[in-house]
Amino acid sequence: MAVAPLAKARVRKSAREVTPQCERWGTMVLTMCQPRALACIALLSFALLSPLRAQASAQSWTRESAAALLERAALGPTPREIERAFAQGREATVAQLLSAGEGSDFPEALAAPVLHGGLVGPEALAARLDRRRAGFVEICSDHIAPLAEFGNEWAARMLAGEDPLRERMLLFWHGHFTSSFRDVGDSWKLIGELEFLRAHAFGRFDVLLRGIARDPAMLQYLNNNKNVKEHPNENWARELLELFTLGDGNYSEHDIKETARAFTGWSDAERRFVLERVAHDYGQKTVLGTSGELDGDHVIEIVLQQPACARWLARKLLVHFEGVEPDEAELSARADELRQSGYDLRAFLRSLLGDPAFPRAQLSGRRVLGPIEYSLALCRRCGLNPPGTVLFAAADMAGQRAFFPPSVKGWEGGLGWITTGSLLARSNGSAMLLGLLDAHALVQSEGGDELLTRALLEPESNQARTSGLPLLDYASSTGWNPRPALAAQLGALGAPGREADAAQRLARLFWPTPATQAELDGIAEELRALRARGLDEADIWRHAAHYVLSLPRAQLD
Amino acid sequence: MHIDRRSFLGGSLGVFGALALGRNARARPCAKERKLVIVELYGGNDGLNTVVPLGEKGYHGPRARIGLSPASLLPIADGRAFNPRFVGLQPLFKAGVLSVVEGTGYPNPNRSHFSSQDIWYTARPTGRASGDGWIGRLLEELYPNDLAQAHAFHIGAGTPYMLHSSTRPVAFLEVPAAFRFAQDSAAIAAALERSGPMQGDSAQGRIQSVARSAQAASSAVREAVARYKPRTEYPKVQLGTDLCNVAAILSSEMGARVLTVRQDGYDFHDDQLRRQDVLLHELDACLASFYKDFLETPAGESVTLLVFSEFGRRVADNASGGTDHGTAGPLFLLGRSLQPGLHGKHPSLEDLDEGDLRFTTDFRSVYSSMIENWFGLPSERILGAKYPTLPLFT
Repeated sequence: MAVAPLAKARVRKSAREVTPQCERWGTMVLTMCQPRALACIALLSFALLSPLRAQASAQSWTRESAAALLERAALGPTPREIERAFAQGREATVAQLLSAGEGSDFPEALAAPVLHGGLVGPEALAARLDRRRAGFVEICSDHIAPLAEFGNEWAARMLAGEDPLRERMLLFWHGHFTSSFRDVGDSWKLIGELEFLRAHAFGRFDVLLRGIARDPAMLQYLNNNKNVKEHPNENWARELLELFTLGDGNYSEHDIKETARAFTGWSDAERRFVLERVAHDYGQKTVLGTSGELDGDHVIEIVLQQPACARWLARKLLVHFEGVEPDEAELSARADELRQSGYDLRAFLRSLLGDPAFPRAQLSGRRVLGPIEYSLALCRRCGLNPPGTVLFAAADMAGQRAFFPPSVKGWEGGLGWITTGSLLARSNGSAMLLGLLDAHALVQSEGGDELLTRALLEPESNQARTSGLPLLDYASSTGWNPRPALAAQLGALGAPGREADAAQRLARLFWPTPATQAELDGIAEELRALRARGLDEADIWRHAAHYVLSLPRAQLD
Repeated sequence: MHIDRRSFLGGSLGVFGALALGRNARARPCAKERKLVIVELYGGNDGLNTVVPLGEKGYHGPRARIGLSPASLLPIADGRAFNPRFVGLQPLFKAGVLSVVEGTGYPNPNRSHFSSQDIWYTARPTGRASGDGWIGRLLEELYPNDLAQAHAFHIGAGTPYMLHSSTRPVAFLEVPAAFRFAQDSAAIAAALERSGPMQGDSAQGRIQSVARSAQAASSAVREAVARYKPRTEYPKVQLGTDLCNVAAILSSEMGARVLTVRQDGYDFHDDQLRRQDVLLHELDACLASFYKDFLETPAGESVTLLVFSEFGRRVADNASGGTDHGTAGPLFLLGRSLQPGLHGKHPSLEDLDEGDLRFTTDFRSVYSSMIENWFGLPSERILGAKYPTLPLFT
């Protein structure tokens, strides 16, 4: 029952006030997570992993359950990581997922401009960042460049896989507390928001809410920086109740109007939260049955006490991790647990992921991978290390554009990811990442350059389109060449006639559930056809991997 | 106000040309050929500044920041004028090919974008919990035995739920040129073919069936778009590109019956005058181009276009020069088989429901008219209830 007591956020008499959130940020330790090249480890022990990622047993800890856990809790786990998790056991694996990167999760250098209102110069930023992104300084005058650079760094973290649950949760929160660059228009505000979400990725939900209510990107995205006493703007108030906390049907229109009043004057200046006292409505309000001289923090406290809030959040988390709607018994148990813990997300995740029955056995192979997850899994399992712009471009083609959630509701997820167009795009995006397809050729052969335009972070930006081939320019300016290390993952192709064995290995590496004999025959047949085309072994692996990744089973985990 | 169709045709030869007259004078296309294009204005368009009530005292008072001055407006009927940006649509209204249904909405209005969209998408108060989208259900009635071919297309980003069908394939495409398996396509096609039809309701079965229809529609879509030569230039904005692709797909013989596109950005919580001006300018120019390029041609006779938004906006403006979420709003129909003019009833600006308009026409009556009088099918099963039809079609 215990909701964490609300810090008595009495409104101070100063006209503008800095939030506690900002003070907290200032004290965080600077430790940058240096992107690491992925080691390409020859997996001679591959045979040990059979039958990898088959149906997990609810009771005993097996390689299959280790795989099933990591599929959902990490990002595109590799066979080596699955083997390590199996050796460690569930408890140690979950503990590691929840503690990795602790204390090193808030790069102050990136946050500083958000806190202090000044931009880091391009040279300083370039010096701080990895050298492989040469050419960065030239485009840094573009207002989206810092965000693109943040994206590169985020992708590098996800690819390195050192703190995968945190990065997964950051993706989750990016689709929950959405702000789109389209509306925010300021790289540093959005970077600040994402850094905040990362720092608290499995902290406490009440802290997340109070922080996001003061977050300059959100204040702008949902117009609360224009919510004033005379004529309240209800945008933030409505989405706070409808999408962030309670869900439609658990509040009235009157609650929205009163909530909007409580948040009047919550604004930003120079990328910092300020309370504009003259714009704040200090009068009596009633929200969800509670009356008083309520301000935004009071409303958040009231909202957190609603059983509907815990249910809303627990349902969303369960759908994210399990891929299907929870049944009522599980939902109400998890929601109660969440509320009683004071919305402690770490405790929630420890309990969910630590449950020997997670993920419920019948759910294996039923959760649809989002495009970013799909591209990441591909890259990690093929030993590819593309820059973020390229990785995110592939995901963008398939319907998930980082930094640009389609609406305040975020991405629909689940089967909503799957359309005729997005399936083709997943296949083509993976061909691009595997070096089989020049994005340039994809569109040039048909005329038009829309795909390349869309693949950019911001199609409207002319500066980034100087040559008309921005994605290729960017990819080549990073010096990145797609060179999948498939032989290291899959071993040798083997002599003609041994295709069935190679087909097994391909299916195991990329599919979460066991292939049927007909599917294995299909892969073997394709391997024979590729060999007959006279391709060398590396190219045979590339095409065969692309074929396997394009089929329905590879879209699931 | 209602213009007689024949007298309009006689008087407007210069505008629309002899070809159009020749077609117009013919019998209407039979129901089996008729098609529907839906343009969704996403975010909740402000209807009061789109079709403006002239001389009503309840208009300017609460809209001190965003009220449009009467001198700038484009009159269409007694007491009604279009937004100044509708310079292309005003002549189409006068020509009798654009009609307006005023005050559309539904009981117990939901002011959430997503819930209200779902109500419009499914025609049911419980939204997607009630099952498939209304177009998905329409497809089942149109093609009871065809489970393989896509007859509904969405062009552009997003996957509007109105097209959702648990049994019929729908094609979603964003960039036609990329609508293909660009590598290893023969092997992938063979694998999808081998896997047989959709098995049960599993996620894998769904993906399987979507992948098969992607493969099946791929070359037809790309050929249609590559071959298409529009008769007029479309504005170089997303909606223009999307509508041009709609025209291309309609012009080919791939069996498309319902096509949807979306224009984003109507959530005017601030700076409405400028933002709505930009969007309505685009909308006007794109719809006028689509009319000129396609609807005016012989093939265009079998197509009706519907424009809707999930809700209207509050009557009074807010301090940011915007408006918050409201209720009823106007809906537009464009085509050559319409009863011209204004339909429905303009909602009162005096009798408000806590600052919001009271709807006068249930939007499902527009749907039932579309289903019964355009597609020639009974509407009750599709809409889940019987809604009276309106005299929208000739």
